[in-house]
Amino acid sequence: MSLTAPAPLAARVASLRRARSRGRCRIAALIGGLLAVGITLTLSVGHSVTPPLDVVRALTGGDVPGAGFSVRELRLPRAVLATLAGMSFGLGGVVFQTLLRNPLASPDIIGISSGASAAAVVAIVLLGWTGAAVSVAAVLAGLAVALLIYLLAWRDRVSGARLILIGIGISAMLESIIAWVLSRAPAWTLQEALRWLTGSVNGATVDQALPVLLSLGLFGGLLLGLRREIGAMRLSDDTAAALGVPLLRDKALVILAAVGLIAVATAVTGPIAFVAFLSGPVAARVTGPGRAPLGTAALIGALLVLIGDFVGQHLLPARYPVGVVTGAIGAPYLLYLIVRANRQGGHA
Amino acid sequence: MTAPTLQALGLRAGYGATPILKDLTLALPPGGISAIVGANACGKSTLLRCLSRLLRPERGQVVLDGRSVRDMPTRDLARRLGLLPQAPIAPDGITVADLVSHGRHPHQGLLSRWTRADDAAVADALAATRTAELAERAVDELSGGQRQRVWIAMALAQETDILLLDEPTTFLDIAHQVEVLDLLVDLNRGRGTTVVMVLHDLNLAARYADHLIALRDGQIRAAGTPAEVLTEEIVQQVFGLSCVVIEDPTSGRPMMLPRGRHRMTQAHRAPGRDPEPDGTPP
Repeated sequence: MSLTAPAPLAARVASLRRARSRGRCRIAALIGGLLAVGITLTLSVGHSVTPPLDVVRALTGGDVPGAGFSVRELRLPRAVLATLAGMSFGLGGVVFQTLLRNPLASPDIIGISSGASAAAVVAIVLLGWTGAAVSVAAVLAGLAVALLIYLLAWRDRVSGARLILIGIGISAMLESIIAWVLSRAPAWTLQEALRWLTGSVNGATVDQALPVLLSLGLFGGLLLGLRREIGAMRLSDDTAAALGVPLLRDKALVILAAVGLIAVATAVTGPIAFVAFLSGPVAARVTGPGRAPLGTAALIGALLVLIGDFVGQHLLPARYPVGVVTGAIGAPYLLYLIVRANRQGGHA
Repeated sequence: MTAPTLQALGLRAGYGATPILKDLTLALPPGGISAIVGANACGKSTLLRCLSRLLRPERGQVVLDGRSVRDMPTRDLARRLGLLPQAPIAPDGITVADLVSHGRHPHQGLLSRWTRADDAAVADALAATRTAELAERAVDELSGGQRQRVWIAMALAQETDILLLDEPTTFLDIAHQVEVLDLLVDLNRGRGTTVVMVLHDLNLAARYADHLIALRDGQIRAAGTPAEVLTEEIVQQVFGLSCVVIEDPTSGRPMMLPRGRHRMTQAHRAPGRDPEPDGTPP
């Protein structure tokens, strides 16, 4: 029996692979286009609508009476922060969901976002910290919560369902800590409180966006560099190890990077509700099965935050922070997943 | 290609306080097909996990071509030694071609692009396992036998000269079991791949392997050709089962027929222990 394939089969394998890669590029370009539309909307619409040409002139430093300040100082930082934070949440979320093979295992469901958020609130309100110190505290708290959930879920080996249930419990405890800290700060407005409970990009500045950009470059770059290893880990830990993935090291790096992304973004915008949770499944739906849709999930996350913020600012009777809008989209999906998991006999 | 030598030297390994493998030493015949057999919990899978470096032995070492696998970079080892674990997971909706492509992982560096050689290796693996016509299908909609062939194709795309398989025929019906084992013989003969597998079914192990390793309580009770290992005495010691060994008329290899307490003819009943044919106690 011949064990060497005829050349046409290799050509077919190659053409299948190229077709899929073209498909992925098309989807990414499409979402990138939508993202550009979202950014343009955020830059153009405020108390008044600025025509696109004036937006471009204002961004390139030209003097546009009545719009220059709001485009450069209010809308641009908002658009940039919304995009970067959305990408961080989307990418961090899909990595957790992929690694634990469960859409419910998103960092905003299992308490990692609330850990980062609680640390940020304690640092800002009780300790009076600002800037990078808050980000560092949030990252450390996010890692501590991840470790705590992992240890509590450990029994011979970690089971996904147990980890998720423990994470939901931890998340509830941390949210009560956030509420308690906020109640000790009577001078805070409802808007500020909502930032730490559901997430907001109100009052964004370029200084705030900088740490998120750095974390996206560092952690996001690391995750994209490890995407083949993440792909192998989807086939079970044993298979990944047999394929030559140094499992302990790479898994630790991947979790560190995902927690870093979530925590740094959370330290600035608060835990924007359900963006981490929604981006991965939406990305998987648009790209189709096959690879873990890391890049697409990042783009979807940015799109969700931009659109959610636009809706919350301009399309509702009152102004709401973005987290209220994304929360309203995410909650029904969470219910749907839980109902479906119950029908399938408890396999979440 | 000279066939690789894989040895285990003084392995002691397990998961808790009491070791499952106790000072186990063995050499696998290069270029052959070996089957590891034994009762449940005798250490078969633990041995395979040690050989493939998934489990670190507490004592002893696994040596590949004179070098301890501990000292080999993970990627280098994965280019020499492939493993099909017992329960790999196919992500929802992944296609056969995509899954098999994962086998190329150890051949790709951080920056190296997918090459023509990678496509050729995937195509070879699909052809060898007769899964080429399934290339665009989703793995989760295939039959059990097809799915197992696809997983073997992934391990083949890895292009290793040793392939370890942990119970590759579990959950397959008898026709698919034979199909998978025939495929492994094809690979062994066509590519010279050294095959090492854990098998439940003694008769299939004796028929398909050149070398049998019978484990009992974490130690090797017997190792050698099927004729040397599949004897009434060794089956009694390894499985605690009384049996009759005859020659398999289809392969000329030994085969084992268990003696039970019921349904035995007069010639094979153990007098004084087994019930009479009409069911009355002895």
